[in-house]
Amino acid sequence: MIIEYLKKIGLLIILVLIQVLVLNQIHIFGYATPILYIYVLLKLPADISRNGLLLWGFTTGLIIDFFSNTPGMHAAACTALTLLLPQIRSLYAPKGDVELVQVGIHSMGVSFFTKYLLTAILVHHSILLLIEAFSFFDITLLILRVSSSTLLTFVLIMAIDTLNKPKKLV
Amino acid sequence: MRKLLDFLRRYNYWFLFVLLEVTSFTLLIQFNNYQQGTFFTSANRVAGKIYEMEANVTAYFQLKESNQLLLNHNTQLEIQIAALQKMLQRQKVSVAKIDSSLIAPFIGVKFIPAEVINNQISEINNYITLNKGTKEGIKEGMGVIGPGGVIGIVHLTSPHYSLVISLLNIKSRISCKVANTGYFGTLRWAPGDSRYAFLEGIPRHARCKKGDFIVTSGYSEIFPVGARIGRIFKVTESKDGLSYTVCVALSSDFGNLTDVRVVAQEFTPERKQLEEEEVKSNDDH
Repeated sequence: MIIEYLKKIGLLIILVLIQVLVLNQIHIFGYATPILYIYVLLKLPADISRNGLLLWGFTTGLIIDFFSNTPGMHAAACTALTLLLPQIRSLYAPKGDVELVQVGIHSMGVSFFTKYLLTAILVHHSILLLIEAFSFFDITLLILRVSSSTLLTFVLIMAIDTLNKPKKLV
Repeated sequence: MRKLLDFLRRYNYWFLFVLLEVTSFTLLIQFNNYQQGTFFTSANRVAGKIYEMEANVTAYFQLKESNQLLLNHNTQLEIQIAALQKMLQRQKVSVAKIDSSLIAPFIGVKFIPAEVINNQISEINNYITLNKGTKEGIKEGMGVIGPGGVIGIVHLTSPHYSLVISLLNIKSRISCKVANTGYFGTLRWAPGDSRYAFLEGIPRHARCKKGDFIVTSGYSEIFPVGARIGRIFKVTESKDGLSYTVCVALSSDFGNLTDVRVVAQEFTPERKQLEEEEVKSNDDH
């Protein structure tokens, strides 16, 4: 259990570093920035308590905020995302399926995971960029940024999760 | 009662959610509205260190461009010196005899060199992190100038790092003027393109054309008079039709910033005293 959490913390540190040092410098067409760090939140086990989930979200967001000079912005978006994650999962869960513990493309199947991922990313990016839009509102810019970033993040996480095969239990 | 307790137990995560969201928004509003510590920004110790390590590595990739930029800057300065010397000779003053009155305006102006360790260009509020802080004498409100021209104004400082409001920030306001005519206005930036900014408030009778230089006005004592900002790219009418809005092509390349100078101007005591009195009288009312 503890090893599992240490692994998650390690993943968090790696993703934060990749995010702030590499991905934040990417702006395809000036709009799309992949936001990879939410991968760690999406991969949290399904049986984690709601309070624990929220705390994970808040902390992850706050760490990103440190680096990008946006105190509170990512934290607010991630907290909202982690509140909605279980709802999003139960929305698309196939009926009569056994209780899900592992979250991932291999344990959930392509269709279920794709829907879950796309909704979660869209929710997070919309909230994040809406909060940003408080200081400057331009509806076309907002829609362009949300849709292009969502697409980019989606492709990136799909690729990583497909490669990240869980070890088979013998 | 039991039902109520059950309800609270089942939905207690909502309280945590509200608490965390309120904390987030408090941080957000505080950062936007008030001067505060650097703890939640990239000028804090951990983030600063990580960005510094990254800058140490990536600086090598830009060595060639930086070199070229410095060379150009040097050449320009040399040409300027040659031109000035020629002018002085025409005035029959030998260069060696320049008396202190000529240098007087520059006394009290100090340049602190610093390195850019983090630079944002495509957010709505862009910030730059520098690797020098209060220990080297950088204070909040000082101007920052790069090889191409004006970069921004120091917003927050910690002992070893400082956070600069980039010119590419919708909160940025810089007082500047058209170099040859002297008409002045306020330079602002609109999100989208990091190459252009907008100069507002140029009166309609002012004649300005594409290619005119835009420089700092020096009214605020943040920047010295005549620091380069850019050139006029396009002149359009403002929305109310009373003045021109000038699109300025910035002369600094914000995508490639490595070395900058922080302008430490000592306020003339008289002006400082005057402004302090003004603030005091405002407080009294």
